[in-house]
Amino acid sequence: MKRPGEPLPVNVEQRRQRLASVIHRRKGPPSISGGKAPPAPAFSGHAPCKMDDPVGKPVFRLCRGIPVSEPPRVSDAFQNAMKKGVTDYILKPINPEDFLHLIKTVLEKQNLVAEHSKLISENLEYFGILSVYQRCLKILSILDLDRLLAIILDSIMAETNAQGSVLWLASPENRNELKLSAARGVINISTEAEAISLSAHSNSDMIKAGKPFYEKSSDGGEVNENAFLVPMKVEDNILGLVKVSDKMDRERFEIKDMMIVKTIVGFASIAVRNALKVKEMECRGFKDPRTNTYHINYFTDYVTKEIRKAGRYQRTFSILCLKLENYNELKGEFKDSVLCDAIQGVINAALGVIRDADILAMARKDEYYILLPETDYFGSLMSIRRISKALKGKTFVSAAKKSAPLEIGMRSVSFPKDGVSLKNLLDNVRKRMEESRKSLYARHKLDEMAFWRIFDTLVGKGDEYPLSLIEGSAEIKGERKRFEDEEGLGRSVLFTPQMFSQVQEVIFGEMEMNADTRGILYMGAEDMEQSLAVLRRHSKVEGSATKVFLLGKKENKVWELPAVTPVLVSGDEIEKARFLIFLSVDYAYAVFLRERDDGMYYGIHTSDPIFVENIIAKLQENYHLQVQL
Amino acid sequence: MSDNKKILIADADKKSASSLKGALKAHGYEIVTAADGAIALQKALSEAPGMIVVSVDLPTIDGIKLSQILRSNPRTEPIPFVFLSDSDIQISHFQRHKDTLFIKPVNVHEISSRIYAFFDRIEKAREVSKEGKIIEGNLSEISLPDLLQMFHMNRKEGRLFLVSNKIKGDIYIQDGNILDAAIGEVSGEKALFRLLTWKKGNFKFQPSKVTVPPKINRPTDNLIMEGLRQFDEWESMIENFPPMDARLKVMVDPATLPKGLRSITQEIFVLLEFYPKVSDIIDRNTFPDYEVMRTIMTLLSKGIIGVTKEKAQDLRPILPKEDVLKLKERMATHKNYKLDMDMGKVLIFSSDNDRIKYLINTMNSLPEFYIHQDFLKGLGPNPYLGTAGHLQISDSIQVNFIVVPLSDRFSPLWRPLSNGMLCGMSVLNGETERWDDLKKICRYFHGRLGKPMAFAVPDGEVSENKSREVKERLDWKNDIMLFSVVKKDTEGVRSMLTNLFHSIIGVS
Repeated sequence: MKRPGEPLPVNVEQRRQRLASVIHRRKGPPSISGGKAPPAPAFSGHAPCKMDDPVGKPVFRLCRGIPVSEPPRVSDAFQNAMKKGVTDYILKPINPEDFLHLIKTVLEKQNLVAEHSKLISENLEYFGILSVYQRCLKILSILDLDRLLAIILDSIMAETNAQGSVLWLASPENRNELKLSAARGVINISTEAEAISLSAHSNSDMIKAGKPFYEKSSDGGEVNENAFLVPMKVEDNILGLVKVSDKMDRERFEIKDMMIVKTIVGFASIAVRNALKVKEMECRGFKDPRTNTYHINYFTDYVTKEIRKAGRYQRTFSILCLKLENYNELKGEFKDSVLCDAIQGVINAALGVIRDADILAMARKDEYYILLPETDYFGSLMSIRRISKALKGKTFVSAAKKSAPLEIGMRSVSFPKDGVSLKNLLDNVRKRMEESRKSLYARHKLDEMAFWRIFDTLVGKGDEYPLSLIEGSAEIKGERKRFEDEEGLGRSVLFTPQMFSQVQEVIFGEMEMNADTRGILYMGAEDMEQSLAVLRRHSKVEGSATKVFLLGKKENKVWELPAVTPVLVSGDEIEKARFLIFLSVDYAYAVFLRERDDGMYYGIHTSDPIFVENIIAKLQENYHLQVQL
Repeated sequence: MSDNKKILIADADKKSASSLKGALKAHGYEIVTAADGAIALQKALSEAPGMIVVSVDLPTIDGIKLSQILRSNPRTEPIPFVFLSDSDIQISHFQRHKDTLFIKPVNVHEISSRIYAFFDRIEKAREVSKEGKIIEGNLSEISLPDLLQMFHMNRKEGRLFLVSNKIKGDIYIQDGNILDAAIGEVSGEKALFRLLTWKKGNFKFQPSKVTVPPKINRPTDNLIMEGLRQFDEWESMIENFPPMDARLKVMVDPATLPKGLRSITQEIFVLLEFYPKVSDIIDRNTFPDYEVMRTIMTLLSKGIIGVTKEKAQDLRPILPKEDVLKLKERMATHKNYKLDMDMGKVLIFSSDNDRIKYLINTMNSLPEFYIHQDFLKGLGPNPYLGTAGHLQISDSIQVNFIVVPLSDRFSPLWRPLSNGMLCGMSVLNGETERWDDLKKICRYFHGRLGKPMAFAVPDGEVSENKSREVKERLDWKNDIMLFSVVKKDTEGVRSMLTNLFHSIIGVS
């Protein structure tokens, strides 16, 4: 066997033997190559060959050897050979010393080249590692968790030519459970596990040891070399798990890839731990530790940013105000600690209902604001309903011998409909809080009554309505007057059938004009056909963003309009009754009427939003309809 | 799946299952029930239902687990679920556009309506994909009568869209029969007969389920024949017919006209009160064009109506283009421009229907103004509430004029009506003015909502004194917009509207 770097004399003649013996004296026995066989691939060094030798030419082409030539035959061939990379040449007759010197020089050059290429590859490796570490430094510098997770996955994908990567983070509540937290690249997120149990994982040993491992097929049998997982471990804590999948060009991942990812993940783990700690500190810093609510300064800062974001992307969000209406009265009656406990009960109930992304902040001890990102006005009304439901039975302050109810008011506003600046929004929500106290619903304590009782209370009896009301010139008197208000939100009316029809036409016209605006409409009549007749004239309503419900005892052809939900009701209450309740994100309107013997409709109509929102809830409750807006 | 109207109800609560079964059976669904998760699973596999209504707290295998098992089986994976639960819960594998969650207690009619709507949607989608192809072409290649006959023979269902010279028309076809047609505001046979005369333009047939109420009841062949006959008759009469821009007027005292006139004749008389132009009478009459034309010819020949010598003026637009853009900006809500049509409204307040009629009649002299039929029919002795008409300011801006009774009794409607409102206009009533009611209206719309308010004096003078009186009565501090409205003064009413819209966009 030849060793790399050992010269291979190529000539079948005697001279070749002689040269070989010269080399042999210096470097040990050469192997002789003769005939047409090319030098072995392992011998890639310089080999002498004879240019005028027919055998030498093909050999020369393959190896960068030292040509040997007759003195008078220094010809163009040498020049050509040098051009093609021949290291050196020697002229005959050959002086052994010169020849040995030449061999030595060539070998030195060869070593130099080898060393140079080794250095280059070492440099490349160094730069590769440097690039990984620079990425790691960038990872270490990020403290925003969402951004950090994205950068970690991007760095891993860039360094391994992976097409996708997923990251699960340990759940703060249950350290044994990892929750899907980020995914980048070509990943079918629905096929990835939402949560991974550490103890139940088939590779739990590898995870605990912090070692990377190839993913196993779903049945747990075959190892899939197109994806591997690397645990995120700091000290003895498992912070998460990173999955790297699908290398470019459908190649498999190698150990080298795993090691690179392990290095990045090592740094990333520290960065994630830091980001989590910063988040925790921020929460502690921005939160009131006693009530677990955010400080109002943090809230205003957050909402200001949210306004910019929502404005830029044409999104919406809502602000909900929760106020303890009788706080000042209770303050005098109860000890601070008792009152604070009761308030905390309210806050905890609200915190239990709102989403993780919602921000509950305390402005004062009796005033709280909740930011509901990506929530329109209807969504905020649903949040109010959920909080109210959670508060049932918890709105009491109780001391040793006495107990008092906590009166809680909640109203909301949405961006951009109710204001485009924080000041506008807060002003409007406070204004609405004021209005809600004057509402028909609050004034007459209608919350304690069921739907039909409210209806009958508000509508009263037919003989209370004089005919002069039709022209609108007369005022209602007596019992009915107390249901009216100064603002003009609610009025008792006596309508001719034609006038009632015109009122319905106006409301339906509004719905058609704003077909894209969300709304909910309930129409009630003994015979649904009475409501359908109006609906049929407004074909656009059916395709609008308004949900339409028809309530009635009789049902005829209702099914011709699939978007309309008919609700058959029993009971005498609906006899001779007509009602229309409409709530949209822009306004509210309700009309409650009963038919008199002379064919006139008497009752009340109102645009009081608090009343309409609550009467819808009452109606839904009465007929077991789904709670929706 | 859509043909499969079998529903599996899996609920341990027998009472609830039975009432739901009754409601669904009444609407033609085949019902299979199971009171236990294991039985439900077995029935889901053996009966292959089109939908499963499942209670989450089902014994043996709960509802969520059952859905997970069935969703992992390719055979049962497409079945939609209706979950019934005691509380709002998170359901893994819940597919938002397919599944529904109802929270108990539930109203069976609400569930059955939702199920009906779901199957209906699926059926519509299936019909579209089955019948499928959109047919498009040019009316110069195939005439509309031929096209309609082809659809009739093939018993097609869907909507035929037609466009000619930027005018759009629609024909609704069900089972090959023509149900309705529309061209602008004209619908029914009148619209269809007009469309039948189109020789040029493009058409597109979109197969889909047609749900419009039928306005045309004649067989297709008969309709086409009649339409073409009327067109031929029209062509033969047109030479002797007054020009379309000619103006007509009633030559006799309407009181002397005999009672029991044909409804088409009555309609022409009502329209003549508002629309003197021949083209308007033809356009706005509900009867087919040819029949209106023939009746006009008869009335002309008998001297009951006559052609006046008044000439239509070349009128300037109500708003120049740059102001139209400003108005559009003003109407854009929350900086979101509507691409199709911006709709605004002007509220008209008055306690006197005759004065409102006077104002609307005067505005109607503008070619851009369109009176609504309901207004013509609805004006009686009682206060009127509703749209009187609309003004087409540009191709993309329409302003509706809505009459609101001048009464505090209607104040709950003010908030809904103020949505999209551009300004208010009060028609002053002379001596019988209800200043208190008007003051409340001004305080709400102008004072609170900041909407411009204008005051129209029908057939009266606008003087300094009048202006001062209105300001005093209403405690009005700023300048007041007071306009005199004189019947047939087209230029005057045009200026009034221009000033009104200028006040909205803030142009002095």
